[in-house]
Amino acid sequence: MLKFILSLSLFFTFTTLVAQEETEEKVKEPKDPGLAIGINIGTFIIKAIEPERFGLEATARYKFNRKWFAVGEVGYEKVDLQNDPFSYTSDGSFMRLGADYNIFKVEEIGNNDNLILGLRYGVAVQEQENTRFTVKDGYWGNYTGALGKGITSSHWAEFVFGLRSEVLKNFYMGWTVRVRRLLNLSNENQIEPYAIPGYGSRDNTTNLSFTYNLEYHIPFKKK
Amino acid sequence: MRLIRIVQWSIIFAFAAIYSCSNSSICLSNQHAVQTSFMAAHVDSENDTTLNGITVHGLNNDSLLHDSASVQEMYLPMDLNRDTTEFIIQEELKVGEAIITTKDTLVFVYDKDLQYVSGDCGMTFNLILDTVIYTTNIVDSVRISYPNVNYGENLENVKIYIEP
Repeated sequence: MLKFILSLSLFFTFTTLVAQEETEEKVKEPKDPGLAIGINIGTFIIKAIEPERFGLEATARYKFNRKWFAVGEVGYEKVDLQNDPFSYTSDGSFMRLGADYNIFKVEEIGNNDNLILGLRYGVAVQEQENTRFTVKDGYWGNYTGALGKGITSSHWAEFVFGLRSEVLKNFYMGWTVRVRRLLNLSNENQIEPYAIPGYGSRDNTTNLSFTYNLEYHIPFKKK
Repeated sequence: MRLIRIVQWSIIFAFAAIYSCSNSSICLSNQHAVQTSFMAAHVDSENDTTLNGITVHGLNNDSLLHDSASVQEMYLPMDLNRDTTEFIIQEELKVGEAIITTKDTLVFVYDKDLQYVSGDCGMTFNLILDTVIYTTNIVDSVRISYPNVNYGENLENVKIYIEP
């Protein structure tokens, strides 16, 4: 599935770039710098799929011109997992910084839709606690233990592909698909994070995730 | 522009479906059992052999792992609350009207290494076999062929050589 999405994104990128080259000579780009602030409502979708996770995420996006954006994302995630073999809680915050490049270009005046390729660098710090774990053994009897508390920090990189469109004046909705790669994880003790804030499940060193953003664009000059 | 908005609204459901499918994991059981096989002793080449009618249980544990079975290989679960686990192998041979019982004890000595598997599956212990101590009534000798007993691996750990 990941390969399919990546292939689709590459196809989209290629076809759009070809179309862009053809029209580049005709349209003079208006410079429209501004700051967009927003929230990621994808965290509420994740909460519906994984009830043990609850997160909040805010986005700030600075538009240099029609093509380039600087993006900062900050958030918080709380995990409360209570299942048969494992009891785990985590409180943590994260920050992602990076840039987006808009490869979408149309001749229609006032069309501010974006087709985005981007990169992010993410950092998270979380406090975790394991109050109980059980290793099941049907012959000799289960082993039960606890790992206690610990602080964990994580670093990762991510590739971003997405769409963003202006649904009302200066009001944007957009989604992104993100392929994340964990670069470093430092643990105080043996507790491995169940989920890393801003990264997702720790079970994989490469993660596929998504965001769904609502943003308000504050223009720096009058149109 | 209209196309982008249609795609925008519809694709979020696809993401949710992909995301929920990619987050399930399968938990394996009995991953701290030492995998043993019986071999014929005193032959030039290594040959598997079968013990017939044997009973296998843990020391001070009446629950039988094998009961009057023909066995070529055994999975012996290690006690995770201790660093040694003992098993009794018992063979009953009928000689005329009499039944002759022969027993051997195998003592496995190991180190434990706690490992995180996943949020759904929790923790497990990987084991490193240090020594196997044994008596020699049925058993001729024992050799550790692969000392690591790891989650998700299915490799033979110990060869038990039997008097032909």
